[in-house]
Amino acid sequence: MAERGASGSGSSGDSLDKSITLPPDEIFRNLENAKRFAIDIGGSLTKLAYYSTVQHKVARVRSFDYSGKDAEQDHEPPYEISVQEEVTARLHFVKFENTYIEACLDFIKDHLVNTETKVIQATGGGAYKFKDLIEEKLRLRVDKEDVMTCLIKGCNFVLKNIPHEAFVYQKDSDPEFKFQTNHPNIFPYLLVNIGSGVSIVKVETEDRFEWIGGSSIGGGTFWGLGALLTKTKKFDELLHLASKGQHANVDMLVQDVYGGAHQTLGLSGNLIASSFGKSATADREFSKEDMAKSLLHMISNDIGQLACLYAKLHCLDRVYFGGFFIRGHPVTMRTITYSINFFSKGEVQALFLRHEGYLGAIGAFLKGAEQDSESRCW
Amino acid sequence: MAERGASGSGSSGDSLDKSITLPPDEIFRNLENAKRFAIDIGGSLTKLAYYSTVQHKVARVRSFDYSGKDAEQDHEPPYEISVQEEVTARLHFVKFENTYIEACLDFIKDHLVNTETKVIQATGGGAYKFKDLIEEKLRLRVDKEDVMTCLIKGCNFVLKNIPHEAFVYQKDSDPEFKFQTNHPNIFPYLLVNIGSGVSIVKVETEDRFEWIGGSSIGGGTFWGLGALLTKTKKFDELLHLASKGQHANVDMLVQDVYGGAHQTLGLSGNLIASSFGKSATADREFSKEDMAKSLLHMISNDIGQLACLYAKLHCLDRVYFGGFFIRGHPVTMRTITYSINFFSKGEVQALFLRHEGYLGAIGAFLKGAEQDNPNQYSWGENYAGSSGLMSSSPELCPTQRARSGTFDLLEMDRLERPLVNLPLLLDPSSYVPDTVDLTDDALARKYWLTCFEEALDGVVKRAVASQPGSVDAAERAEKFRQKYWSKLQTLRHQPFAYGTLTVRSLLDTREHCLNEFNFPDPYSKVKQKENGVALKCFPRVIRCLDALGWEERQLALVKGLLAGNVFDWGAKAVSDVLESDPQFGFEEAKMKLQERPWLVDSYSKWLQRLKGPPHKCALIFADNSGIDVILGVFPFVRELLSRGTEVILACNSGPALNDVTYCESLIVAERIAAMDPVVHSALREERLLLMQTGSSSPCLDLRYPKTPARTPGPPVRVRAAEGHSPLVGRLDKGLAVLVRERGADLVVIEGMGRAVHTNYYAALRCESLKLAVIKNSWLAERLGGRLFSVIFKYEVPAE
Repeated sequence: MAERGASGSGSSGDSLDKSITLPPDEIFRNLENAKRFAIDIGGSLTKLAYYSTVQHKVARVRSFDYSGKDAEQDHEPPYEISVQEEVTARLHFVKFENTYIEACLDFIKDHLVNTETKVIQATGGGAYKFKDLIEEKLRLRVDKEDVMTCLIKGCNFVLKNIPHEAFVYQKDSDPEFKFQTNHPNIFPYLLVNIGSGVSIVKVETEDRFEWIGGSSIGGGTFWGLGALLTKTKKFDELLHLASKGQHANVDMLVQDVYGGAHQTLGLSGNLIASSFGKSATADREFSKEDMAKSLLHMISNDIGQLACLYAKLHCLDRVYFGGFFIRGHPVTMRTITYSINFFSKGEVQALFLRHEGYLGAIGAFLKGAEQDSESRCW
Repeated sequence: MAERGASGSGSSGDSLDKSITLPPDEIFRNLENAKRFAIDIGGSLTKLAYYSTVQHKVARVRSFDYSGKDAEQDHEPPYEISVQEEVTARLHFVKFENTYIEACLDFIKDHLVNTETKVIQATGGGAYKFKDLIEEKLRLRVDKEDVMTCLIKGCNFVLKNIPHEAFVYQKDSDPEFKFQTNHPNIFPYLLVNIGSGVSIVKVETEDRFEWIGGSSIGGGTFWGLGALLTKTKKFDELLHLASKGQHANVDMLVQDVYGGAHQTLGLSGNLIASSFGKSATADREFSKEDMAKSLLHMISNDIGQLACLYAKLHCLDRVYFGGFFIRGHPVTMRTITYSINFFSKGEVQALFLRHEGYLGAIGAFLKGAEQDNPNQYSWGENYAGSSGLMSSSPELCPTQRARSGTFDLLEMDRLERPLVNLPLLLDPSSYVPDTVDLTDDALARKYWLTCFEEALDGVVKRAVASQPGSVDAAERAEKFRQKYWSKLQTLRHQPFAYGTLTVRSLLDTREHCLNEFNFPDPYSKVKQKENGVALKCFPRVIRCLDALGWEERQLALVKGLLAGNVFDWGAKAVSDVLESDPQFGFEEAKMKLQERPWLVDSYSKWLQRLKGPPHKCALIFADNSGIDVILGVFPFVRELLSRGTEVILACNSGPALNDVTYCESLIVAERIAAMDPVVHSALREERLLLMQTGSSSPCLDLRYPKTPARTPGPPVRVRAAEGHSPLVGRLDKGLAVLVRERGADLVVIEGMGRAVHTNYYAALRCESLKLAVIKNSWLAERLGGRLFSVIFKYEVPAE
C-alpha cells in the first residue's frame, strides 16, 4: 500500500533473511538525522517510527532587485529562480518481520549519526521481549509504553490527521474502496486491532478507552495455520495463494448440507456452514490456494462476527480495523464487511484504515513527542 | 460399553468400514417391532430414532380363589405367582457416522418385519441429501422436518425428561462434572448446537425460538483442519491426540508476546494471544498432538466467546451446548467453560448435555409422533440399553471410545404413569433425593461399586432360582452378569456416565439390566414364601401388642417396624444370614437391634407427639415384603387407624429386590383384613388406601420420580370379604392428588433405600418419620455407628 509505494520496492519483504544486506536508501531513509524513535513490536512484525529531517532542494523565486542600476536593465524574465537546500520535518514508519529485528537494529545503529536521542519509545508485546536487545544494540533506553494506549493514540491521530484515512469496502463496485471524509468528532468507536491475535477496544474519548474483548484467531493464526497447511512461510504469499483459491472446495456450504438455501432460517446456499468441513471426510488432496482461501474466510468471518457482537453489546455503530492482518487485501475486507453486515443486519459499519499497521508505532511516537508538547499538523 | 459386554468383543469399532456387518442385537435393537422412524443426518453423523415395543416377562401375583372347595384347603403360599408376557413402549436412539448410512439402511430394511410404517421423519442437512437413498432403501416416504424445530423440541424433551441431563464442568474437581437437577421451568435459554458448524438459538417457550447466530468454526472445522494437519481421519482419534498435546508449543501465549502477564489489561500470561501463532515463523515440525490440542482450544474458545456474547446480548444466563462436537470431551468442555466464564465474568453459565447429539433425532421423532402425544407421558432413561458419557481419560478404554465414535445408543422407556412431585416437599427445586453423591465422593464410590460387584454372584443365583422351569435362565443370568459387571466397570472409570452416580442409580441400573434379560422379579418366590410365613404370625403379633400398655405398645410398634426392616435381601449382611439361617425370626431380629439410645434417636419426641391429637392422614412408604410390611408396617398402620388417622400406604409399582410391590400389598392387605377387623373396616371405609408410587426402585425420589416402572399391569381385583372392592376405584388417582385431597400431615419413610440412601436430608412441609436399620457396616461406620444401628428421625417443620 502507501508505505510500499514510498520505498519504491514491493518485494523487499520477500527476499529478506536474517543476514540480509539492507539497501539503506530504500528502507531506513534519512536515518542520519533521526531524532526520535518509537518501536512497536508485535507478535510477528516490528514497526519502527522515527522523526527525521529531510534536506530538500527547493526552488526559490525572487524578484530581481530593481533598485540600483539593475533596475535600468531590461530583464526578460520577471524574477529569478534559485535552488536552495531546505530542511523539513518528516515522520518515517517502517515495518519488517520480527525475524529481522537484529539485523535491522544493527543497521540502525550503524547509520545513526546524530545521537542526541537517548530514549526509544517501545510498545507491542515485543517491547518486553526485545527490550534488552534494543538497549544493547541501539544504546538507547527503552521506555515501555502501554500497547493499548499507543494503539488508540495512533488511531485517533490518523483518523484526525490523515485525509481519507478510513474507508469502507464495497463489494462489486469499481473501485471497491469508498473513502470517508474525516469527521471532527470521531468518538465513540470500536477498534478491532488484528495483529497476531485480535484486541477489541471501545474508545470513548481521546483518553478513555476499554479493552472489552479479544480473540486468539487473528493474523498469527492465518499465518501459522497457513504455513502448516501450505508449507508457505511468507504472510504475503499466503494472501496471494488465498486470492487465487476457491474456498467452496474445502468449506462445507449451506447448500452442501441442505441441497440449497435453508428456507426456514433464511440462510443462502452459499453461506459457509462449516469451515474446512469438506476436508473432514473427503479422501483427496486440497490445493494450497483453496485451503488458504478457506482459512482467510474463516478468520475474517469470525473477526467480523465478534466485532459486530461487541459493537452491538456496547451500542457502537462504527468499527475500525487496525493491525497488520488486513493489508488492504480485498478478500479479507470483503469477508469482514460481509460478516459484519450479515450479523448486524447493516446496523454496524466496518471501516478499514490505510495505515492500519502503524497505529501502535504512531501512538508510541506521539507519547514520546508529548514531552515537546508541540502541537503540529501533519 | 454395555453392548460390548454382550458381544464379548470390544474392537468392532476399529475394524468397521463401509461394508460392516452389524451385530443386530447390539445396535439396532428391537427393530422387528419398530413402529415409527425419525432420522437426523448431520454433516458427519446420522442419528436414528425409532419407537418400538419390548416384550417383557412380568411376574404377576394373584389371590387364590377361596370360593368353592379350594377355600377349605390350607394353602402354604398366600397367593400364586405367574409369569406373563407384557409389552412396553421404548424409544431407541442410535448414532453412527454418515459413512455407514447405506449399510445401516440395508440392515434396517432387512430387519424391519412390521412394515405398517409408511413415513420416516427426517431432519438435519443430510435429510435433503440422502432423501432418495432413504426412500429407495427403506421404501418409506421421507417427511422433511425443520432442523431448528427438531433441535429445540429435542432439547426441551431431554431437559424435562432425563434426570441429570445437564451438567456444568468444574475444573480441578474429581470428577469434573456436576449434574443439575431438573428444573420445572427451563425457559428461557440459549442453545448452542455444535455440529459441523455452529447454530445459536434463543429458546423462549416450548414453541417460540429464534436462530440468532451461527459460526462456521465448529466440529467440521476441528475434524477438517485436524485431518489436514495430522493426517488423522477419525474424529475421536483427533480428540484423543488433542488430549495428549501441549497447545503452548503451537500457540503464541500472552507471555510469549509480553514476557509475562499483561498487567495493564489484566491478562494472564497463559492466555492464548494467537492460535497457531508459533507455527507462523518457527522453522520446525510440530507434533500432531500439539496441533490437535491447539485446534481444539481455538475452536472451543471461539464458540465459548460467541455463546457468551449472544447470551449477553439477549440477556440470557444459561447456555446449553448440543451437537456432536463435545462428546463429553474434557478439554473441549473445560475450554468452553473457561471462555464463557472469562468473557462473561461468571455471569453466564455453560451447561452441557449428556445426550447432546440426539436432540435433532429426538425432536424429529416427537414431531412425527405428535398424534401419539409423547409429551403427555413420562419417559425414563434405560441404563441397560444406553451408552454412557465418555471418559476423561480416553486411554483407559480406547476401544470403547473408538466404538462410541462409531455407534452410540440411547433408550428411553415410556413410564406407565405420569409422575409428579410429592406435594409435601418443602422446596421441590432444592430437593435432592440422594444422600451421598458418589460422583463427588470417591471413597464412597469405591466402596459401593465393590459392594455391588460382590453382591453380583448372589443376584445371579437368585435370578436363576426364580425361574426354575426356564431352560435358558442360567444363560440369561450370565448375560445379565456380564452386562451389569461391565456397567460397573464403566462407572468405575466414568462415574459420570449416566449422570450423578448414587446408590440409587446403581440399584436402578441393576434392575434395568435384570429386566433386560427377562428376570422381572427374581425375588418373587422368596417374597411369596416370606409373606406366607409372616401372615401366619400376624394374629399372634397383634395379640401381643394389644396386651401391652399404651406407652409400651408405642415402643414395641416402632421396634417392630425396625426389626421388620432387618429383613432385607438387598443388604448383603442380611442376605448372608437369611441364606444360612432361614429360621432367623422376628424376635431374633429385635435382639439384633441396637439398644436405645439409637444412632439417631428422636423417639421421645415422637412419643410426646403421640400423646397429642391424632394426625389427620399419614402417608407411609413401605419397604420390604414379608415380615417388614406384615409384622412391622401393618401393626403400626393399625395403631394409627385406631387413633383416627387415615393411612395411605404407598408401595412400588414394579418389583425391586424384595420390596413389596403394590400388587402384593393389595393381596397382603386383603389377607390381613380377613384376620383383623380394624384393617378390614378401614379398607372398606377408605380410611386405609393402598397406592402405588410409580417407581420400581429400592430408593425413592419424591420430587421427580423417573425410574421406569415396570408395568403394574391391570388392576388386581381385591376380594374384600363382602365381595366389594373398595381399592380398585383409587388406582387411577395419582398418589400426589390423593395426598393433597386427604391433607396428609405425616410422612413415614422406611428402610435404608428410601430413608438413608435417599431422603435422609429431605425437608418436608409436614411432620416426617424416617426409620431404618443400617444393615451395612461401612455405611454404619460412616454415620458413626455399628452394624444394625438404628435411625429414628422424627422431624417437625419449623413454623
